[in-house]
Amino acid sequence: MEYENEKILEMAQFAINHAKSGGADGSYVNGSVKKAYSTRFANSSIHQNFVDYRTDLAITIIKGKKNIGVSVNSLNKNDIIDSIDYAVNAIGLLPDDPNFPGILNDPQDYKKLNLNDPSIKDLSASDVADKIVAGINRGHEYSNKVQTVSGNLNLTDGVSIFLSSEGLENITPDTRITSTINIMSEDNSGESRSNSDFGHRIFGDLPLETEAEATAERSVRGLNAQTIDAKSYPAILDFQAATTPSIFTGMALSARSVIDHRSYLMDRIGEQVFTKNLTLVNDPHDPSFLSAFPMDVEGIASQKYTLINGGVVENYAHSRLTANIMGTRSNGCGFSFFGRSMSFPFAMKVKPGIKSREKLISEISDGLLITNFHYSNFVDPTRGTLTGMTKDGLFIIKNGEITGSAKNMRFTDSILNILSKAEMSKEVIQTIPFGMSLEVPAMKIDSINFTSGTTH
Amino acid sequence: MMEYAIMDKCLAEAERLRVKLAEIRIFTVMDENLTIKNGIIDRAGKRINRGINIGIIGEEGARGFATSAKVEEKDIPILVERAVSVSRASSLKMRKEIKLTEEPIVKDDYKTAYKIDPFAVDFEEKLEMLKLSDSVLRENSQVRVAQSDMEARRINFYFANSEGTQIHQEQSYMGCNVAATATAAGKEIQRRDHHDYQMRGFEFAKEFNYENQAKKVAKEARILVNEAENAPNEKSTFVLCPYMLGLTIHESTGHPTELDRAMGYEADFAGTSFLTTDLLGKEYKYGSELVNLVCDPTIPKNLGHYKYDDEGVAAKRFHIVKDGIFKNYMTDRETARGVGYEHSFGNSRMSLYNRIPLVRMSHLYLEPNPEGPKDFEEFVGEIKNGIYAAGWKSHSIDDKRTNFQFSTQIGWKIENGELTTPLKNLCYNANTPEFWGSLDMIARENITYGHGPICGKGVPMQGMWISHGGGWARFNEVNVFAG
Repeated sequence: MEYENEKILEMAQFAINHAKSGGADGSYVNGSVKKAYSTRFANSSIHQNFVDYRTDLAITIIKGKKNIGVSVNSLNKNDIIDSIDYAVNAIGLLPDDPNFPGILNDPQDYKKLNLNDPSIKDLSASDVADKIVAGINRGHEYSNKVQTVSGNLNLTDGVSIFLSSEGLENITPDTRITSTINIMSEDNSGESRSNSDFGHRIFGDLPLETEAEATAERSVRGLNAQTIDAKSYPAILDFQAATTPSIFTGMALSARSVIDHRSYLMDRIGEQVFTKNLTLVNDPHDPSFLSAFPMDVEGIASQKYTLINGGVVENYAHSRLTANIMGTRSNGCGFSFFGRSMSFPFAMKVKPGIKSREKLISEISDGLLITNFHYSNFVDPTRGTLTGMTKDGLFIIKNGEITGSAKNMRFTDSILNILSKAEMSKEVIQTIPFGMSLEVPAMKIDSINFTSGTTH
Repeated sequence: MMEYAIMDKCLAEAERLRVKLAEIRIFTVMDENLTIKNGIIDRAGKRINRGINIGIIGEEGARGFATSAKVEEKDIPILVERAVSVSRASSLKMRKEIKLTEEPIVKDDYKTAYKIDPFAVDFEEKLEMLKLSDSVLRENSQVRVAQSDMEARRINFYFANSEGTQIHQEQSYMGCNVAATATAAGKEIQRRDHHDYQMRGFEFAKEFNYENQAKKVAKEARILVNEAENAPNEKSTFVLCPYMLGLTIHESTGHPTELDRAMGYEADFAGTSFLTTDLLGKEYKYGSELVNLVCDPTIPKNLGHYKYDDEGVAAKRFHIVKDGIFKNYMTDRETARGVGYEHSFGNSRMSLYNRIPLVRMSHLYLEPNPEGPKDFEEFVGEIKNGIYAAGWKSHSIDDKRTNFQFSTQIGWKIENGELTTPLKNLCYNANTPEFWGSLDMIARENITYGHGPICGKGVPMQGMWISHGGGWARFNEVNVFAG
């Protein structure tokens, strides 16, 4: 029941052979065998804890100008045969897609990336719990105003494989650890929370205790929050908050969103859309980056490229299908969901600036420091309007200094406005939006429009 | 049955290791998806996900889970041992021993009803239905993106616990969707869709009537880009269609009344709740006297239907809000015991074998008013000036579930009892108790929509299938604006 690395390769090859014998022109398989630890804690106590052994095989069958996807999470031959027989039968009934690029048979140069932590093999549930206990304790040690420490730690470790009927093959051992700390403090004025999402590839280096202390400090500092007016404010988007406009810009840079008329960056290649201080690259080859990977799900070697350069939109993120539709080449950002060809820049980094975060705060005379946004969503993706709540730390800045905290507010504003005048800090951190990773600096912005508030 | 033999062996192994409680789940999800977009296949595929989930309360009183995609008898001793070692690890930071409500022991085999098995229907027949829908959507050249979807899912759940409960439950549901994105000069882009899910078979896809739905959706998409005005910025008398009413219930009633959330268990991800546990039994005024919000998974055909939850507790109908007063939370056995309920309300659900069951919504609806207007025409006839909103565009709500904002696909002005000018970019923003406190008219009709497996909760994320219902509802002095 331990890792079955050889078995998954054998079954992937079996799937490819069976598809061929069933009449498919070609096929490719994305597979994985992984062990996962997932632990949640709340009210300073572990309340959900499991270990999982998982396997996944996603098989894409190609015939002429069309494809179909099936997936099974078993390495049982009969299950694989049933799924492929279904796909081979169904694909004969599908209409051709004139834009379908066919089987990938160009040779690919997959980077060798060191993405795993070998020590995980000997890890136990107690090791995970010990790390969490240390984090909980560190949070409480910061102040007796800290009432509860909550959070989670999710670790997956194993092997991801890609195999195609045209002989492309990649085997990548990888480890991903993501974690959240959320700390509630309380005094006579009420409660205050702060939060941090972070990750690492090396279990021993996951900074859970350090993050617990920093989160506890912000949580205590957030006590005694005042009600502020709903209006536009100059602001510092701290690292976690700066994730929000960055990731929603990533969504708009998906060629799939552009083709579907769901992007405010449609038809804007070559245009100065954002501040000249915004440069955004896709960098999937930095091994410290949790999203780093040598290839996309279609077997295209991943590559470093610029999405936004000095505020000018340079590239969309492409799969092979979207690239074909738009008359360009895939840049290795394809992923598949039930055979639906999607595209996303999965390893984004926002270029840092030259000033420190502290310096940027000191330059605000009357504004806000926003720690985090919660439940942000496009109001209208075609115009880039976004709404969301502040959460886990909203601070008042007067004459360059943090003078107090504010009750949470709702913003409704355009990303184009938020990122029209922005200055980046020289420090960056890796955040984990939607399970991916994003390297982002803190941002000083000219204005963000708050439209309503809360009582907490 | 192989499943029962494996579960029996797990229970025997758990007993040998002297656990206080063992729960064994063998969980299989099979689904098939088909989408046509602008005449070509956007996705087509089938997925099978199966595995075993062993949950225990160990000697120290802490929970531990071990899950595996391999469901084989020879692996059972290792799996159970892993669950025990995880439980021991959990006990390193445990506030108190886990205690559960006592529940009746059940032995049952239950399948949700369907007339036509969607997995037995020819693929070609499904394809032809979507092709027709696609061609209707694209009859007018202003529709630039036409999308038609069909989804079938079957969930097979085997459950046994060391108290003696043994259940097999099979759920089968179908979902259908049509969507049109239209454009007009000046780069105006608007989208309209219609979708629904029911706990039924392929007969539901036939009754959905893709052709008629496609005609309606395409027509309204063209209205949005050609005729609609931007929504006004004002405090308005406001009417929600049953679909948007359902989503508003979901976000502002459903999530804050999940007891695990109110107890702080979701603080690391989704947030907490303004309905703190000290408000239980304190006659907290949640809304106007017309507000009766009911959780009822027992109604067949609704997407949120089940006979047993994933702890083997029988589903129940109960009020969350009665006559405007907050009455109850949704619970699992542990959280129910935590606030002193005698029994769980049976709301514990999981989405995949390798997830831990959580307190989840099922079918949650606003009770109709038997004395209210009998239909939409009569309902609108009662309103002199107002705004009617329909279709979901986006939503956002704060971590305690008080400040929410929705964007809708289309709206209309209501003037002297009639729908008049169509509206686009219509948003509404409100505070939860104020919003529900302003409800003053509900229709007699009760319309239910299945919202699909879209309710996200938990870490790792679990997408749960849920349904909501109600009639048309009128709210006063709601903040509407163009977004």
